[in-house]
Amino acid sequence: MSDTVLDVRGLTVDIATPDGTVNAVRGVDLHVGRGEILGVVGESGCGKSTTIKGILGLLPPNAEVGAEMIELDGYGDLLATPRKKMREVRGRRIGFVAQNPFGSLNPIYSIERQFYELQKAHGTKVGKKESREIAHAMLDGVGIVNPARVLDGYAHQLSGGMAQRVVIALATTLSPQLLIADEPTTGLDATVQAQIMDLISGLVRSEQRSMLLVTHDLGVIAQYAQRVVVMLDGEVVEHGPVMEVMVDPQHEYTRKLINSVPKREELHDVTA
Amino acid sequence: MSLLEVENACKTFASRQRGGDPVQALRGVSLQVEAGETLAIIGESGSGKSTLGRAVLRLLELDEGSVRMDGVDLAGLSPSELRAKRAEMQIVFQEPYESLNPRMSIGSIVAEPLQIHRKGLGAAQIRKLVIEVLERVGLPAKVATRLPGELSGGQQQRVGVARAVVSEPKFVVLDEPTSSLDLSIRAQILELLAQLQADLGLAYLFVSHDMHTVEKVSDRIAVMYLGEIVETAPTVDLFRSPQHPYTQTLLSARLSADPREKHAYRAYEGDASVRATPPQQAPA
Repeated sequence: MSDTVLDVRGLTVDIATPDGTVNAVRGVDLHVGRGEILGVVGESGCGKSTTIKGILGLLPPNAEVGAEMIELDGYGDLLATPRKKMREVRGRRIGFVAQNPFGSLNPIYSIERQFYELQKAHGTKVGKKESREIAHAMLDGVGIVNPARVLDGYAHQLSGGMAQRVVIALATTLSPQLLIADEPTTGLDATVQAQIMDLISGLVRSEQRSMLLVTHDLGVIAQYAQRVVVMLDGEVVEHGPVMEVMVDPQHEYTRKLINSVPKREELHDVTA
Repeated sequence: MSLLEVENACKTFASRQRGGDPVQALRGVSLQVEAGETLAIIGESGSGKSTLGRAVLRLLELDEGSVRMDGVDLAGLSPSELRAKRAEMQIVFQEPYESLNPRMSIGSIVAEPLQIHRKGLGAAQIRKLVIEVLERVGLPAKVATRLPGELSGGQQQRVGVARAVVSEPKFVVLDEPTSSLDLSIRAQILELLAQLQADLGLAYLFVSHDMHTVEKVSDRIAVMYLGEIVETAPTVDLFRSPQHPYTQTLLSARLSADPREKHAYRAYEGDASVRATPPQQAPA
């Protein structure tokens, strides 16, 4: 078992459009260590979501993914993995949490059935009763107060925060070593965001999982990630430990990003 | 007398689900906004903050209570009197693109309030005022002929701001005006709003869910929870010594972009997010 769970080198994504090819991701290097949360931060259009979709094999056919390597520890080369086989990797080896939980949940299946389908799709031999027990325990683990009630219900009956908890429970059911989350708390209330991020970082820490966390929210990165990669126009402009990059940014763009967050001190200066 | 006075505002909506309980969006809200100041309304989804923002402009009718602008009760105005009063009170919406007619040029969008509120103006005067206000919000005159879809999100929101201030209002409701914008664009729009306030003496009711933003822009803050204002205080005091337990929870949920400032989230007993049914009232 290596200390690096995910090792990506020289990732490129070229997207064919009617107006020519867009080089959306241009040579991105990143690696995620065991038990670590790596943050990927940048503004809309910087290529951060395209980067993780490239890693997960979730891009449409008009996107061409290239790399020197995309290595998942304990599995091997993701780049050489055919599309069909990637379906087994996602869920079993990599759990994915998207921004909109309602897009991840099936609106016409009960929550209970979604846990059952997940396990069936990945060849886990479980009966309906056993699946319900597993699901109950998973929901309990993500802080849902009344799991039985949620299991019998449907996605539309859940609040945004509850739905995201269900998605996190689903994403971790098959115990993947790596979680990838794309703006998991964007659009949620601040108090719910704090709860969900506390939950996610607890899940990573308690079971020595690893996480690739994509967000535009510098507060989320500063408070929960150990290392950070800053992206601009499809490239990594700065990377390093959060304590260094966020406290003493070297690249001009990182400085600009950090300075655009309203700061407490400025206000107190004005009123003093 | 304050510029805006809201007294005991109440509004209940019927449930969207058949047989569901009605939603009490406002339960006796009272507040004042002084000329030239920014009062922030902070709250989370379902707290009633957007309902309040619309009610103070009489974009929706209250069940109970009153809203007075310059001492005039808005509920007592006839439709034509209300329309005239609206020159003084405007709104900027959260989604810039959704709030602009996609088939109207930027110039006609910004000219519309002038055509409604200042009927005596000729076409040339209107054109001149439109160009002036576009420049004031940092847009080149040439965008007047463009359509909203041709502009970036930040530029679209500048158009929304131009439309709100062109009729020379005293009071503007800002309903999450920067929530859908990227960080660096957000800072620019906030700067623009502050500049306009200084130049034109505007009062703002700034509706937001973002503590970082309201801390920066507001003179006073009112905290809403489940249709009630649980606490109102000058911004500095509220951040220094929050009194209500819900305010304390909101503050503890802020995630500082400085990793040296560690946050410790403290849950609130009335927390609606993990409960099967939200509490009906804020615990005291």
